[in-house]
Parts: sequence; structure tokens; C-alpha cells
Amino acid sequence: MGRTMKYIPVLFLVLLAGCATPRWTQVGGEYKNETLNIVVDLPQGWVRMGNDNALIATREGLLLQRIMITQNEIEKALPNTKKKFRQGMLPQETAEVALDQFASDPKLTHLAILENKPAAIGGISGFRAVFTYRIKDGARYRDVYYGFLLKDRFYYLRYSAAQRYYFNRDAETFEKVVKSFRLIAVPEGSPGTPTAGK
Amino acid sequence: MNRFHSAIILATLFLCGCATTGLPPVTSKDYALEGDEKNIWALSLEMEKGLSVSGLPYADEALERYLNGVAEKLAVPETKGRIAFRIRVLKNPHLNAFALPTGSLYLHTGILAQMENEAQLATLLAHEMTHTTHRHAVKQFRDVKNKTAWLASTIVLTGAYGAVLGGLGIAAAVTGYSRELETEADMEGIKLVVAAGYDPREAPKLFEHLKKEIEEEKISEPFFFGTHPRIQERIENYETLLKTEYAGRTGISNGEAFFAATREVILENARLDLKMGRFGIARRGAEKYISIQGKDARGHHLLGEVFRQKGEKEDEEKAIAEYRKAIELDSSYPDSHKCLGMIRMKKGEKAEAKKHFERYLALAPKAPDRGYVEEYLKAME
Repeated sequence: MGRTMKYIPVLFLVLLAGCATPRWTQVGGEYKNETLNIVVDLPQGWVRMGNDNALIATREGLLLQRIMITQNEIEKALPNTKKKFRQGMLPQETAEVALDQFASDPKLTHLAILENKPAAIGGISGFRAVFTYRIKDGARYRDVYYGFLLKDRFYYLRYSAAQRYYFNRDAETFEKVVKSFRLIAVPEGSPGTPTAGK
Repeated sequence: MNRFHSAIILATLFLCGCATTGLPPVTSKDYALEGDEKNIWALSLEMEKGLSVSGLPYADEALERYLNGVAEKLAVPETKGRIAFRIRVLKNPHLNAFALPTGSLYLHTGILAQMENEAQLATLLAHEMTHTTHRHAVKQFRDVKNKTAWLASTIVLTGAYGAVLGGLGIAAAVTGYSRELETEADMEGIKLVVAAGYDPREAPKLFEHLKKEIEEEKISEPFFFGTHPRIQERIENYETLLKTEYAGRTGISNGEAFFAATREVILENARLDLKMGRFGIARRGAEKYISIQGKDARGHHLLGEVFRQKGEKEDEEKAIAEYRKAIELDSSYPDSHKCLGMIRMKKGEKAEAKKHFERYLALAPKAPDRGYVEEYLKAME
């Protein structure tokens, strides 16, 4: 009995560690992330996850709706396609790689691209795509995906929401986030960046 | 009392765990579905239902008719009324095929696109049909259960028995059986191939192509072929049979009928490979399609896309040549104009680029990527 008691505090600590949850922070207003080199206005009443390498924000839960903003080195291998982003790609070519990444994702089915057109994000030439798909349990999602290449980085802003009810409700909020997006510093000689950094 | 109950359950389970794996085939007189087999069938039917709404089935009635026709030639009469074979195709460029115990066989577009004739298809179908007729799913299930009876006894006490073990037979159907069962499927399968009048010399060729592709692309296919040495072993098994039991045997291969039925699959699968960035396989797929349907603009356009999207400087001229061929074959084919415009624009050849973009918009006024092309034209003004 005494030996068992000795282990109780240890067990308690282990259980506490098991209860650790990702840290969510209330947001609203300007959000600056030096690691990502971005500034955006986030909506009131949403929460974001505290990670410097990717901004993930949601209103009611990740499975209902989420906004994700991040950037990756273009040399980094993509998980579902062997294609790679390359410097000098046109926005349409960039979109091609980005969307093939979803088309080749074995976890998604019924992928349908509804829209794929040029767009300026923070004044930088990129693309805007809208697509729908189902995940393994059959739930339908709809995404709006903005992306652009800047030197050796691929930036994207993605809004992903359950197609029923949630997508329409928060789509406008996401577009406001996109409109507020700007880079903190624009690398010198970056093409297609007339208003970047302002 | 609890301990007593547990002991009875454990004893029963160990006894069940020793259930024989030596079942007669479906074609035997004594055939009857056994209890655990019924569970596996139920899971198979559930899986079939899931697959039918998964968005993966490749819808081509004529192709399915053709594939089912070949399966019919291979099936022995004794299976009638016991197993209803039905062949379906799934949009998936990975090299796989699997048979469910119920008789539903699934072929990936990837494996169909690799074959060269009906005899090779028959080899694959006969192999998969043997898994069904020889009840390999339940055999594998029992084998695993016997080996892990102690584990199962733990699981049954936690109530997860059915869920965990019931899926084993089905999982094996998709991911591959034991070496013994795969060898049996090869050996029994080739008998069906020969009995149906197909050329048995085509059997190892199917595996040779696949082995080559796996080596070239450094693919670790976890499915039909198992590991690389297993493929080699199977090639050797077939070659031994060709030198002994089937020495001097020939038969039909039906290349033309096969390609007439599968050419669209070859094109579609090359597109899937291109999306996955498997440029080498996509290129071979496009070239194969061109060798069958040389006068179809879509094949040349796709080959051009492989070269353009690969992004190697030295491939640019090859892409241009293929797009040109596509336009020569079908002057109203819009996509090649757009791609030529993109290449020309990047090279600074504005006049030429403008000409192609304008032609593209004229041929495809409702193109979903119209916005990009309009922007290119605006930027070149």
C-alpha cells in the first residue's frame, strides 16, 4: 500500500500532462507574426492557436470552420504530390501545384474546383481558388484558398468550413482577413508587389 | 465468479483460435459459409457500399462490361450461384488490385494502365478470383487469430474483439495475403488463364513491367505486389511453371481488344500521375496513349503538360512540339493554345503569346481559367 502511495504524485503529474491542451488565445484586431512576416486583422470573437509557424484561428471549433495562414519554403517537399513550387512561376502555375496537392490527397474525396482565378493578396499577384470535397467520414467541406509565391516562399491563406451553414456564415469574415493581409517586410526585387509592405 | 467467467471465455476463445484454416474451396461439394466467414462477408458488403459512394469508382460501363466478360471466361462453372464476380475500377494511380470474399474485384486505374493485353489482365483477374474461390480472407483471418489467440483473449474481455479481428480478413484482401496464399493464388490462377485459352507466357510479363516501374520510381507499394523480393519471387514462380507444366503452351493475348477497352483509362491515369508529380510514369502513360491513339490531340497535349509542368529548361521545346502536334491534329483544341501562350509569354515572345491566348479565349469563351488569360493579355498590352 505504502509503495502504491509513493507513485500517486507521479501518476497525478502524468495525468495532468495528459490533460494539456493546445493554448487558444482570444483574438480581435491586428495580429502581427514576425516569424511568418505577416500582419492581419483578425475577427472579434475568434480564437487562435499559439504557434509562430502557422496562424490557425477558429470561431467555434476546427472541424466547423478555420482560417489558416502560413508560409513554406518552396524547396520543402509537399506531402501528396512530388511537384514543387518554383521561383518565377506564374500565379496560374502556382495554383496548379497547390490544387494538385489537394487532388492527390488520399484523405479527400469528391474534390471539385469551383473557381480558380488571379487575385492580389496584400498587393502581391497570386490566385484565389474555391473548392469542395468530402473527408473520410463523408462530411462536406468548402474552402477558399489564396496563395502567392514570393522569392523562395509560398504563402497561403485558407478558409475551410463545413459546407452546410458554417461556410456561408463566415466566408465574408475571411475575405476581410484577406483584405487586411500585408507583409511586414518585402524582400528586395520581389516581382508583382506594388503595394506590399504598406 | 468473475474469474470463473473469464476462464470460460478464455478457454472458448483459445478453442476458437485453433479453428482450422484448411477450408475447401467455394467450388467443392461441401461448401457452406461458416460463422466467422459470414461476419467477413458482412464487412465486405459494408466496404463495397462505402466504396460505391467514395467518389473513387471510375465510371465507364463499356469498360466494366469488357472486364466482367474476361472474368466470366475465367470463372469455373462450379462457382455459379455461389460467387457472383463483379469487376470494378477505382480512380487511383497506385498499383493495386484486390478481391473481396463476396466476389467483388477492384482494379486501380494504375494497374490497368500498366498492362499490355487481355492475357495479362486475365492473369491478374484469375489471381484475384482465386483469393475469393479459395476463401483466403477467412483463412488469413483464422491464421492471424490462431497466432494471436492470447491477444484476442484480452481483446474479447474488453469488448473490442469483433471490431479488431473482424477487419483482419478484409484488410488482408486489400493489403496482401501471406506468402503461401499469394503463391496459391498464382498457381491456381494460371490454371484458369490457360483453361480460358490465354497465353501463359504473358503472366510474368505483367510482373516484369511492374517491377521495372517500382524500381525506377522507388515506389514502396504496400499492396498487391508486396515487397520487391516478393515480386521477383513470383516472376520466378511463373517462369518455372512455363518451363515445366506449361512448357510450349501458347494462347491468345488479345492486345487490340484490350487497348480498345482501356485506352481512356490509360489517359485518365496519366493525368492522375501528373497531378501526383510522378512525371516519369505520367510521361510513359501519355506516350502509351499516343501509341494507341496517335491522332488524338488530348494525348499530345498531356505529354506537353508533363514536359511543361516538370519545369526543366531542356523540356520546354519538347512541350512546345507536343502542343503543336495537338493543335495540328485538332485546330479547335483550346488547352494547347493556352499553354503555348504561357511558355511564349515567359520567353518574352509577346506577339506569339498574345496570338495563342486570343485563340484560346475564342475557342473556350467559358474557360474556368479565363481570368488568368485576360490578365496575361492585359499585362502584355
